[in-house]
Amino acid sequence: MEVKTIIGLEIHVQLKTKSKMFCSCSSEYFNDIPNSHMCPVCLGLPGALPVINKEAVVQAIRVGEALNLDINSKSRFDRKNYMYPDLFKGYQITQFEFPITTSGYVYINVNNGDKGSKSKKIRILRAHMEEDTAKSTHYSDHTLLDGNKAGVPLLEIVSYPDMESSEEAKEYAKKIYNIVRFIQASDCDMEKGQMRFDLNVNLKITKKEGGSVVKEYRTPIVEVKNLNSFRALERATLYEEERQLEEFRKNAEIAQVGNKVTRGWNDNLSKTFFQREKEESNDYRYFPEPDLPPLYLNKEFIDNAKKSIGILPDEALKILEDKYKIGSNIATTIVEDRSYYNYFLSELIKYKGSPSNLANWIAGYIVGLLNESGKSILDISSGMLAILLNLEDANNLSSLKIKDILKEVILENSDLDKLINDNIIIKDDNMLDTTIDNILANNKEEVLKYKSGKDGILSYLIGQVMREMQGRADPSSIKEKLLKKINSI
Amino acid sequence: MIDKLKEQIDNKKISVEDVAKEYISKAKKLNPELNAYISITEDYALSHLSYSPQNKLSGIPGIIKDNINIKGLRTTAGSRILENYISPYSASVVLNLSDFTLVGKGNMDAFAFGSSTENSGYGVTHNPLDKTRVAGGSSGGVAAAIASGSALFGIGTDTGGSVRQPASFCGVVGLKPTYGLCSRYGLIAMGSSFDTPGVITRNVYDSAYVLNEIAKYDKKDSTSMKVAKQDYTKFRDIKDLRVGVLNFSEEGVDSDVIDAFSNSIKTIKSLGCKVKTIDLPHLKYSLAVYYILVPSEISANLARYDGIRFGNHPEKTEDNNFESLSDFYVEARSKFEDEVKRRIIIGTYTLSSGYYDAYFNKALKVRNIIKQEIKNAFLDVDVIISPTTPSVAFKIGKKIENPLSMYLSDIFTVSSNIAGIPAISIPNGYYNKLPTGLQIMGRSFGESTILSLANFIEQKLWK
Repeated sequence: MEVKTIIGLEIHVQLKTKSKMFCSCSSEYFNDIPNSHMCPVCLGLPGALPVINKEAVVQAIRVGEALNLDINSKSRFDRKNYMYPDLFKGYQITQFEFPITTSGYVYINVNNGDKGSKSKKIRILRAHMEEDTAKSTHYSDHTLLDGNKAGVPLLEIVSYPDMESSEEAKEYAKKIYNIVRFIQASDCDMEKGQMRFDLNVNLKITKKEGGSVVKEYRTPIVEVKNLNSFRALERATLYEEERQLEEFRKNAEIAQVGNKVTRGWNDNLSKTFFQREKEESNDYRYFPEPDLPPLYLNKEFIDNAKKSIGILPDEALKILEDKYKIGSNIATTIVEDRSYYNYFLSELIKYKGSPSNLANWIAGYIVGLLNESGKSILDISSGMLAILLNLEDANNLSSLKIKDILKEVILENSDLDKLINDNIIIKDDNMLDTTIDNILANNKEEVLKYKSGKDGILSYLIGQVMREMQGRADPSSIKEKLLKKINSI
Repeated sequence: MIDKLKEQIDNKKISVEDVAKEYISKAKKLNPELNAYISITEDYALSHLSYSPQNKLSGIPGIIKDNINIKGLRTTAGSRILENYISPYSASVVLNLSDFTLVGKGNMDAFAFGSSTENSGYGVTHNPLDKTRVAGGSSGGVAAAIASGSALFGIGTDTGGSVRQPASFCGVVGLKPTYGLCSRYGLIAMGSSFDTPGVITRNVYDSAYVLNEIAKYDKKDSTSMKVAKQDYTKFRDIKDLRVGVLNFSEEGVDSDVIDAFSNSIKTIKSLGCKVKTIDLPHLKYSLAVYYILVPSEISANLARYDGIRFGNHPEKTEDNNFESLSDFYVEARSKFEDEVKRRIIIGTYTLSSGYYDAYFNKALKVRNIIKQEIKNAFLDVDVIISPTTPSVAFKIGKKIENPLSMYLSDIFTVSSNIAGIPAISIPNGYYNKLPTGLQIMGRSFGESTILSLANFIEQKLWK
């Protein structure tokens, strides 16, 4: 028996726009007072009418271009009818028959056994615009609704069922995340619900005898809705693979043909649970939205939107690796975010040292500092890192001190010039000699141990001197002088 | 009439306040008999009085159909579902009527579904000319108020004849402008691709006068069109105008209506117009197309009335504790009026999986054929005339139990909504004191032409 997993993903991304999809309410609502971003349109009041947000259309085209999708010069909005309290109008305005973008693809890296990894093409069926719903918060005997999210522009990116494992699903999701973030079409902050995954998964089970196929089965497609982390996506896939196989074994060959089933994901239990058997999709009674004429886009408008995406993360990665000789891990971190990449390029103009040293600092230290503090790289004053690293390269500042300075300036907004002054390396040989002599006098036993072959003692001694000098000495001078003095003992 | 009153106000012969009081007191006096108003907004009107000479409707008393939102006022759409709904915003069409005096909100069939105002959640409106008869619908309240003189102009909505048919029944003028000429923003939607605001007045000049104010592009309505500003009260010469007379089946049409129509054709000829008969073979499908597409749009437009934010939020009882959300919806939405339920059910059906192609999609195709047929007809003629309705105002209760015969009263009016073209109804005769109506349809944005012809017919017939 051969079991193959078939996975397709629908990814919802909140597009980065000033206002909502069909009205002028602000779409930046995170942590704001519930129901404070509302107007007759997004509240679905009788008589209110939608107006398409041009900025959302531009963002949709940008994502489309980045995902190799065709941009359709004519698209249309439809009404998707279903009743739920978080859907104020009783229908969602979406694009059903004529989406703004169709047929694209991305490449992901997949495991290739002993040969490492290989590139795999995942086809994308379409990406279409729609509006987000309100947020429901359920309590034991009532539910509260917050309409701030209602009407926020969404792009739904629908893949073909081209993925065959939880790793591939995760890689694909990460790829979309990376691209959409990099072109700044969305922040994709999953904790804020800016990116959500609907997983469609089932199994193809082939029974073979003597090498030839006897029978082929497909388990019913399960849709797991609203997964909001890569981890949840991965675990839900793994769980479904196991659950569906087990179910197949239990039911053997009966009830093979089933309706699509919707299941929810319980993150605490790491389990999916039955929600409903999904009826056919056209029970949503889609029909053309009469309040919005078809959307015609001229070539110039489309071209301008396309051009505005600039470089894509894969292209940026190639530049970092090939042109600047930056290691793959470091380069990958830098292309996680367009602003990191931009920061690298702008510091590089002022930095005289090697690009890879600069990249190491950004990826290895600054990004961590930002993640810790929640600050943005855009808050860091331009040129600072280049100045500090130039000082280090000229043996005027120790890397230890640079870390402290960056931390203080970025987190505490301390004065950079003063910090440099206070920490610049003291090039005073007499002072250094005296300090080393003192350290050697106080560490006679260690010196003996070193002489007897324990090489590690040397860095301990260097550290002692550095500490005594409050970090303001050049480590290579310390080492040189230390060795000379020890050898002469 | 409006311009005369405006002149008196401008010349300080009468104050805006006195005008308001006069018309409001008339409305209050008549309303117990006619039930033209769902609300008479005396306090609102007197506290919002304002006058500026440049505003053409400054101080002019008007009635607004109750499916058009006015900020701070109850807006019921004629339905009990919205009994306590106070709108937080005003429709664009209302904002365009700067400084007018609001006498009240007009009675109507619930959500504008009907042709007699008998489907109102607030009681039937009586025809001022014969109180045992209907005033027509769905803008029956507005037409009755204009006919009985408690307001000088009214704004209604017309989805399939809801302005023209009651105007015809009450012997006044009803104008349905081109779809897209006047903003729909703030009109409680019925059939969104058919709805337009419309004007009801005592004479053609007044309709043109009000149209001047409300014909305005609105960026809040994506189906609104930018059209060059023009003065519709400047009637143009209609000599040699090519008038197409619709060839219609006389079956089911009252002989009085046919007589009046024949007289109108004579009048039109005497005005120097060129008259010819035209056939529009697909027009007979108009009503069928209408009663598929409009309910489909209705079924979505009315989904928001779910009892959570609108209507009476059903309370849990021992018998009904709403174990599921659908229990709650069933309870909340059972308060809809019968005709409303009927149309929601029809529309849900015509959009359903397996029926979409047979009904909605096919109706959409026929709509396009009718549109094209009408467009072609306008290559040969400048306007198309027909009776407005197949009968004069009928007795209250006569058709309410038979929806199909009620639907047939829109047979002449729906086509212009299907094609989105303008149409006007003017009185063209009286039989036993009951008026008949003449409908003139024009090309898209051809309001000026139909108003001009209507004006000259009116002059000839009634002066």
